[in-house]
Amino acid sequence: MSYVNHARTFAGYPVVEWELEDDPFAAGVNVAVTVRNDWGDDGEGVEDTWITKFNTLLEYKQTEQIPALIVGMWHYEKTVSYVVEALVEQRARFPKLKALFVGDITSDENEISWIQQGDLSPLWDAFPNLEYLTIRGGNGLDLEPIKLPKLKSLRIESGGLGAEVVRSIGEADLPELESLVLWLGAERYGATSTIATLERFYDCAEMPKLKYLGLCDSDIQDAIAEFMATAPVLQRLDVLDLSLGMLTDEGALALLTSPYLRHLKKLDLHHHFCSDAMVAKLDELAQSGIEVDTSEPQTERDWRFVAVGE
Amino acid sequence: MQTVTADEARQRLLAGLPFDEDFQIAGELDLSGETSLTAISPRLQQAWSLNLEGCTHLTSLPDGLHVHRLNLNGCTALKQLPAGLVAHSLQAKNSGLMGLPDDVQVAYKIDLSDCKALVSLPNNLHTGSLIIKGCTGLERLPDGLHFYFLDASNCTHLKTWGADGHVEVGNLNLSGCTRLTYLPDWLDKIAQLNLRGCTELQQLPANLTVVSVIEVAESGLTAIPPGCADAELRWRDVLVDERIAFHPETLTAQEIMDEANIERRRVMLDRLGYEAFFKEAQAKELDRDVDPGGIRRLLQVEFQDKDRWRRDEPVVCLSVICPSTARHYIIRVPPTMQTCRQAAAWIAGFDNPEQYNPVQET
Repeated sequence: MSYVNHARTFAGYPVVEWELEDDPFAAGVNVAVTVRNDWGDDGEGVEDTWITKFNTLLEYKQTEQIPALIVGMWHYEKTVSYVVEALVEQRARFPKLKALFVGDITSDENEISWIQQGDLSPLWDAFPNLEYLTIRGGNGLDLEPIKLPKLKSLRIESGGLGAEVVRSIGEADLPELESLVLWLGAERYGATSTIATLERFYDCAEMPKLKYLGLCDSDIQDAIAEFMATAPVLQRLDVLDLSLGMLTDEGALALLTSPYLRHLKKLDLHHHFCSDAMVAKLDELAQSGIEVDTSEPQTERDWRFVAVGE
Repeated sequence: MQTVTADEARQRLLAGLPFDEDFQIAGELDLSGETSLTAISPRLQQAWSLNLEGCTHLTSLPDGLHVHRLNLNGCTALKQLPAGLVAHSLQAKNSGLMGLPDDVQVAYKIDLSDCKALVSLPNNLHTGSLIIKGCTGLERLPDGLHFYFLDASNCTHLKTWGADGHVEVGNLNLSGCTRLTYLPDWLDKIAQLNLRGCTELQQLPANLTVVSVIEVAESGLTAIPPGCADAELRWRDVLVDERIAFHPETLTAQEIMDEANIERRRVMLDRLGYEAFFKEAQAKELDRDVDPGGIRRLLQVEFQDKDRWRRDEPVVCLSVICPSTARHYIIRVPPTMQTCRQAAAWIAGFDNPEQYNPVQET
């Protein structure tokens, strides 16, 4: 699986793609505006086109109205830090911003494992009203502890997320968080989490409103399933999402025998390596009112892989 | 019931301090490697996780303990578990357990690998995955066993199945169960079955269905029932057919030469035997000399693999006659061997043929 297309909506807002000569607010201000450079930009001797695009956006007073901003492809040789600096510097121009996507980059533009993230923590003080935060790419990513008291949705898509990032999210105080999705990825692409890293997700004590928990795309998906099968947090979740990873019958059995399974409304296991017989058992959970997504079975028995790595 | 932090519980338990009332721990109590610990306070009622790995002097646990994950690996002095134990997973590899209590409830997994003292399991045991590999003291499985996965590999004394039982999904590893002579009739439909090295197992129940994989290398089987025909038949993990597995004498050298899959070709060669193979194959003679048994020949067969990245090494064998029995032997040697003398030295364990100067061969 890879990203072929850019986001078309974000946090419920229609996405506006625009060129320098266009008016990004032709369709109004209740939109998610993109700032991305395009193919062929950023040759030698050319000014950074992400900055050019951002500066052009700032010429419009309507930035003060927009709820959502999407950071697309930035200079492929640079980390995101200069983008973060620019956003922080211009924070007063985005007083209503509540949704931010850092890295809406397709695999054509840059493979997920090549995206150079960086320290995003300056954003927390600059945009304290953020409710939706999506990040694509785990390389170099540093969140410190996230401090966003209004954050409802946090989503990090990565082919390999460092354990320190995962641990910092587990330790973050996120009183309003309802949905958390982490693509943990594969060891060969930088995933370093073990079950010990996930300890805080067992009860998600600092996330009292959590309803959707995704620990996805992992090459230790069975161990995660076994661990989460007894996690007290399941008693208050609607959805447990363990999709996209190397889940086999072992992990599926742990979930099937979970003491808390019946509290869930949905179990998302799509892209898995379970046998037909195990899938049939999982599908029987529908009779107990639990929706189980067992789509995209992977047939390979000897060579398993996560959905998103490189 | 009182709730105690894992840290506090740990300190009190290690110091041997008493608890005034029943307590629970919201968290993981890790006492692994505490070799001086002999018992856990009977006041402990619940914990998310209890890790007692390597507590080699532990002899008892509290009655009625409820714990999600219980780790008793290497608790060699622990001979039995308490009554009323409820867990999601129980690990007790290399422990001293001789059995499990009748009322034990472990929903997901019980791992009793290499519990050499284990002699019995309770009737009507229900669990997702039962791992008893290397439990060499176990001769009999209980009545009413209910499971998804069973790993009983290398249970070398296992002979008898329970009178009834039930399996869901069904992944059974019985490899190395050298005394097993039958599978029970109640084992009707399963996904995977590993019977490698079940030398005394000569047939399977006629009603048995295996849907995914059946491994039969070095078993006593000579055929599989019709319900297994759709499963992948494997020999040491290599996909084979019934002829390779059960009628290797019908294979021809040409078929082996023509087999494109190198792994399968090796299994076919092994099944047919080098003697039969060299009788038929157009072998090239690399060397010839005379030893006390008669003429020795170094023979080579090369395979014509098209894909140069997946080319198998040639088969090189020494053909000898035993001086005392006059029997003819074909012995495989490394493909780098160039002379009979060198090959004979290699077989005797010498890398340098100059050092191999037998005084007398018998």
